[in-house]
Amino acid sequence: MSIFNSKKGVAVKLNKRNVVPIVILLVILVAFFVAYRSGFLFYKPYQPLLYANISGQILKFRDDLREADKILVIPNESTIRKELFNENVNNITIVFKPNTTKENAYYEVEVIEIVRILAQTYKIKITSQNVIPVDTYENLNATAQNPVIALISPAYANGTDVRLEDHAVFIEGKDFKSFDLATIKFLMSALEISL
Amino acid sequence: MKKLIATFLIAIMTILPTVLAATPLGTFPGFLGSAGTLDAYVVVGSDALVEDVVGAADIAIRLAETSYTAQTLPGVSACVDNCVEKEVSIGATDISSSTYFGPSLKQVRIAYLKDASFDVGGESKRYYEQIMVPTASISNDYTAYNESAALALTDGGTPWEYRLVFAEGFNMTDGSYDNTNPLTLELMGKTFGIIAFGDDTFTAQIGDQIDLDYNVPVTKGDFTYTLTLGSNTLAVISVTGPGVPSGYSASLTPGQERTITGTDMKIKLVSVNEFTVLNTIRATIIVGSETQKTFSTGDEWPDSDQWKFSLTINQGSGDDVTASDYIGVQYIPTVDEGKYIKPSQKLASPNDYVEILNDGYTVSKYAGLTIEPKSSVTIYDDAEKAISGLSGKNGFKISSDQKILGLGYKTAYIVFNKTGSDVTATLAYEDPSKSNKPIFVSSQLIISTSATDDMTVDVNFEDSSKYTIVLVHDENDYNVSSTFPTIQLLGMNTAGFNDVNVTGNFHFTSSLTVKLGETASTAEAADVVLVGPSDSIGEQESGIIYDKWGTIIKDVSTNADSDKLVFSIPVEQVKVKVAIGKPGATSTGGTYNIIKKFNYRPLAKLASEITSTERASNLVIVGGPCVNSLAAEVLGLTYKTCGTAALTAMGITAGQALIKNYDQTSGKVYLLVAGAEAADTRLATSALQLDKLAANTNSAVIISGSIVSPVITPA
Repeated sequence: MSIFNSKKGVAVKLNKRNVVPIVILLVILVAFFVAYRSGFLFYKPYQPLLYANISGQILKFRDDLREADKILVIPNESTIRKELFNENVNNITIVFKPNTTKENAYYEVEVIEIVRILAQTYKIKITSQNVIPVDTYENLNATAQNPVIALISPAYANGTDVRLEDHAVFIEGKDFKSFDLATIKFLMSALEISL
Repeated sequence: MKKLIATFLIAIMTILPTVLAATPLGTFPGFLGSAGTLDAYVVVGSDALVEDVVGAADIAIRLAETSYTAQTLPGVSACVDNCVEKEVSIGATDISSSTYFGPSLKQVRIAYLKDASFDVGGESKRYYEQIMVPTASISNDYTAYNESAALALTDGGTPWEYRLVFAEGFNMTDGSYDNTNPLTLELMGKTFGIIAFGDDTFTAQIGDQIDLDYNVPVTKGDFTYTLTLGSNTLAVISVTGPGVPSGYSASLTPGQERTITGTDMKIKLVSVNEFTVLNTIRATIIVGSETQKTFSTGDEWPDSDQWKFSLTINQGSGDDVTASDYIGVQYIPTVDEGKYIKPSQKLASPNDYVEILNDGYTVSKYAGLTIEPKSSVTIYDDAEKAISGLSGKNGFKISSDQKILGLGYKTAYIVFNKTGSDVTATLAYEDPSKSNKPIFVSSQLIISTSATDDMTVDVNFEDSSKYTIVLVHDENDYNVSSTFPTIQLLGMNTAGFNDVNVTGNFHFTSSLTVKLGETASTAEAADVVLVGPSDSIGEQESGIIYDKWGTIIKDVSTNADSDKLVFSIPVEQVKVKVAIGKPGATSTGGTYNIIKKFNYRPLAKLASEITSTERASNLVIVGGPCVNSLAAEVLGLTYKTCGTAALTAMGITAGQALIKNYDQTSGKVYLLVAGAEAADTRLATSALQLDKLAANTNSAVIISGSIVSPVITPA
């Protein structure tokens, strides 16, 4: 490979006196190059990945996509996407089990995130008519035509994951940050964002 | 002294938001962004009740739905060579019928559409472009279009579609077309390098192609690309943009593709060349979320979610493409605003390759007509002498800027005379040949148990449009009549055009003066009624084209506030000029909204999460000072202020909610949406979602009532 603008040659006469400094210089240069390529040089602190490009539009998320990507999805991302976003679906309902005002605020944040991103990307319209408080997460009456997104706040969560059961997608987190990340993981699944 | 200062500061904090509140709510959510880009956070309280969670969806969906950019049109014009124009009647249900455009348009009618060929192994294969005309009506639905007759795409009808039709079949291998030698075709003005065909699919190179010179940055979208190093076999491209690590660069060989770290954008090197003589390097890259894609029916056109592919590629015959196969691209608007085109507006396909224009109306000559109360009118006889008993009477004045009344007058009067429980109406025309005095024409017993006929006034505009103004008789005596006098302007007296009429529900005062509606000088819905649909339109702020002839009732509520009815009567039937293709020279321009994708900020934030930087954005603050610390702050209260103190600060009572804009000195707006209780906040969010504040000029309103029928009053 000929590197640009390196046309002019340089003549160097070698003898015992100048070989040693040249070798030392070469070793330093090689070490410098290796350090640079491996990232040890010019170390930069970790930057969260907050943006995703969805067919030309840049979406910003509340938290790090890399962290969210670690959240467990059961059975897998594509199954969840196909369950919610196919031509047979007439309506999507979001349910949540109310708790303290603090935990309700978590629900409120996640509802806004889900509604606005699904509206912007899939043109799915979820209004207040489709956001329903429930007493229990059992018997949600989810169907293939009317799947349900069930938000489970930290107080009721058994862990942090996104899982599909009987046409209902459960999003749960053991603390607010985990709940946030699980919601983002759900949206990554919906939007086919893979890192 | 301290107490005095504290009182003064509290007063300032209380007054300040009111002083600054100025942005009208009717433009929600447009004021939360600019140029179609949303610049706002929804701030929810760190404490929330169930209704707050539910109502949050309404805020989010309303903001997400309003992703548009207002574009100023260069203007529209009559067609020259490159388009077809038709005059279409109001109420016409389908412009694709043979009466108008027919189902499709090709080069023979629109010259710039291609009818050409490409080479496949030495054989010429013909293809042509075709525009499929959509099922669309000319609608005067005032609830959607105000005083306009719009071209409206029909739900469920044939969509507007572009097609590239292969007139002859072929195999890609016969032309040696593949990944390194794509078949280059222009679809709707965009070049596609087609690599392969499948059953109802095709695979093509996509993305934005960028030519780079050494060390010259080129910005495309949010990203900037610079060729920093290279040879004939390698290029090093540095990339900067959202999410891209500082100092990032990609080393690529021709044909190689990488994902740009920190994004899902891909970069592919097409070619790179070292030019020794010029002492530089040049490279061509393709960038985008994908650089190669297989398209099938339903897939979005690149960078447009309103246009989707519709493919018919049949490989059953053994060829990759069979004769008459086509690549179609259909316009599928996802919001109602994308389905209609008002006068002087157009919808344009990607690359402006084909446009549908509403080129305005065929009629520009109108006669004005005003019906309004008039007091102290004296009626004269042919000898210009005041008629006894008809001096200083009250009634109506009917006036026009054209000689359209009766046998050619501009002004008529109907005055009332009461005898016992009977009321007689007298008609007179203002005669220019008799000192412009109202000259007696006829009298009619109009309110009486023995009243049998209406009083009528003919309206003729150059003998081509005949209307009748009717003062309806009432077979009760005056004392029990409650709604008289009802006055109607009938539509065209021609079958097919008198589909809708207008009724003004006037009322008498005790002195027989006339007012429109039960309350004088106040627009009420029942003041004016469209007969036919039975719509009460007295509070309609715009005018309405109310019949198929094209008759207009102007600025309804504004005129009703003055107890007037004002009409514009066309000299002949109004039609809408619709053009498909590309316009030539321009005339008047206009603005319209196109729906486009744009970049979102993260919308939802807890009040406790909002940073000082984010405070510099527009904020939608949901919840009152008892649940949301930011709400407390804008109201000049401490968090948590609940109960009576909170209601007093917001100026509301139980069962009410406040929606109020607080303009910030930075130019941004804080929109407070807060109820006395959580259920009231929900009522307010629902009102925003349902666009109940459209055109509201107040910067603060109080909402009460129900979600279905909210009561909105200025705060």
